Amino acid sequence: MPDDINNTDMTIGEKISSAFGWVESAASVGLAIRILAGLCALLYVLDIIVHRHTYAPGEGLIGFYCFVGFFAFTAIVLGAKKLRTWILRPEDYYAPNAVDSEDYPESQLELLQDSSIQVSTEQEHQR
Amino acid sequence: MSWFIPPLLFCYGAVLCMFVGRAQRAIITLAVPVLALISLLLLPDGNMAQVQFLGFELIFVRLDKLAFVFSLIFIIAAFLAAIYAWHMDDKVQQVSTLLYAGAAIGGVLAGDLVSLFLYWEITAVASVFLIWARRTPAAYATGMRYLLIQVGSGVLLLAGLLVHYNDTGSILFDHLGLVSTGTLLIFLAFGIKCAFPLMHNWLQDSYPAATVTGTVVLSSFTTKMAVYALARGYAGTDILIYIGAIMTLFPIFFAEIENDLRRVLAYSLNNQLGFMVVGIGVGTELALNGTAAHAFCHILYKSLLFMSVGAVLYRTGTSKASELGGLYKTMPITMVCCLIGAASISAFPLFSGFVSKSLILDASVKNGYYVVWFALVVASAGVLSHSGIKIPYFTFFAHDSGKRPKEAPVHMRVAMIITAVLCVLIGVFPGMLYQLLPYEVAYKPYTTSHVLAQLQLLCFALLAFVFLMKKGLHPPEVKGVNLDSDWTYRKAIPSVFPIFIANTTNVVDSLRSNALAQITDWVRSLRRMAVPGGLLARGWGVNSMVFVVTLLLFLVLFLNLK
Repeated sequence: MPDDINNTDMTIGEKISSAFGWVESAASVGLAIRILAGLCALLYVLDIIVHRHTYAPGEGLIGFYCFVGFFAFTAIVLGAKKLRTWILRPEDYYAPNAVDSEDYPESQLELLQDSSIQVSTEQEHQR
Repeated sequence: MSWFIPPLLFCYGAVLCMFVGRAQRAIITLAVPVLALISLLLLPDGNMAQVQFLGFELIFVRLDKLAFVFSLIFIIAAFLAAIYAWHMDDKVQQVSTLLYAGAAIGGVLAGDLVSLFLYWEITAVASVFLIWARRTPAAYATGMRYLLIQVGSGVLLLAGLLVHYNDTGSILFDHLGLVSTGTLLIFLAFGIKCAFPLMHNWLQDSYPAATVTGTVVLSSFTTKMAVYALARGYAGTDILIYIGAIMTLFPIFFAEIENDLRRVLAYSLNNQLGFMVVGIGVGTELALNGTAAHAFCHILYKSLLFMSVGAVLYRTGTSKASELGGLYKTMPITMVCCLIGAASISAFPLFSGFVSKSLILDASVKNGYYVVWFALVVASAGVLSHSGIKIPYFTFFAHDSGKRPKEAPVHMRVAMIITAVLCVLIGVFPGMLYQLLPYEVAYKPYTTSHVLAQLQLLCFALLAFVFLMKKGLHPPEVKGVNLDSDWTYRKAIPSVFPIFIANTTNVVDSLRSNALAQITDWVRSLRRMAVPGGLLARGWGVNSMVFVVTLLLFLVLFLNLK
């Protein structure tokens, strides 16, 4: 990857997308997750060392924000998932009076393909 | 000078746009906000452009720090939207964008309720064309629903202002407070445009139906004009704290499972409005500063997010999460801008949301609203889930959709980059924003406690996301629509109404035929009595006549007894 970034022929966009290429590799994603976990551990430890100014009751508990962040997020996602089982309907539920099931009018768009990358994915498929 | 106030400049621009070609129109849409900015900076504080109308004194410009900060961000938003829409060859949209932005600024500058009402309705009518400009039957139907609700809000405002005028004899638009029927009606009018819970559906219904550029424009003005109006008229009204807290929470769940990313952003917009409404409800100087600051930052990062999803729609023809993914390969600049918008709305330190949301959270906790404060903290984790992670992750990463769209056009990239730079600049140098705020408050967002708390909240929320993805618990993106309370007027009432009408008609019909049959019976029996020799056709003797008269006299006497 770093070789690509130093390649001066590349546009800024190409440099950025190659810099994000790590998301394709399971090993790199695993590493990123470990870094995140490490960061979280560090933030938790910092909570013990650093004194936070607090106003609300309970806010001073060690790891208060850690727990709220983790559990609020989980509760929201799982709650929403449950909610979906009740309220999900087919896309054409409100048709023809809603845009959900219609295509955006193509005449107002400029649908262009990036041909350079298209070739490489075709090659990947052939492989 | 009165002829060159910002709302009128936008109006002149709109009129001019009607008569010129494409290139000139694009220049006008860009030049008008620049001129309006100069005009705004030159305007002195206080009342201007006063007009006598039907015995009322209308104040079209009342400039103070609160009005200034909202006008300024509206002008910036109009400018950024104009860059983003540089490619557009659609007179309808360009004219209505200018009128709409101008009316929103006019609403912010209005010093009395009558001129506020005028601008309130112009924003409704001008903005609906941004939805209709999609030019499909479905967009037309959606636009009609939008217009009905928006104009309904205006009618409530008019009713409220008439009652209020009757009560107080004043049409001045200053602090009103929830004290009478009139102020309640005005409060409800503001509440509709501010998308209070159960009055919110128009927002999520209409914004995803607008055009690519139209949604960017829509996201900036209507709701924030309502936030301004609430801040002006109802600061410190307790109920707003609880309305706001509910607003921050419930849209999160809908945003989390919504497939159309522009509707996700509409729900997320609703959630962000909640923070501002809490600030207004708390009503202290710190809280109102927070509301103004958050509106300022919010317009920027929300525009940025709508721009990036709009660019994806422009290139791929869809904004549905289930059909997107892996676009970072070919739309890297859009992706980076989207990430900056996502970081800003999630309030990561060094991004704009952090320096504005903190003011509101601090104001609520320092005033002892612990439950509300906790709701806001939970909602902050929720913001990360739907806007911070979902939007960029499912668009640019996640599974590869196989789509390889070209990067967004140059002018869209320019608009996004400028907006992104503003988001970061405000985050890094919050002093720039703070000096624009209505009140002098020394506030430091970057304290160790604060940064640490926010990082803990966000990093552990991210960790929860990773955990849920790894465990396969995170809901996948699936096609479909999710019911919301608008189901009542879009599906339930329309399906029940014909049955109700049919049944009512049946009941009325049978009642009528029964009554007719009864009357016919009476007429027949009367006729039978009237034949020769019948009861009514007999000759009566004097004795019986006297008897009847005496009876009648007794009756009269009886009725006169008291």
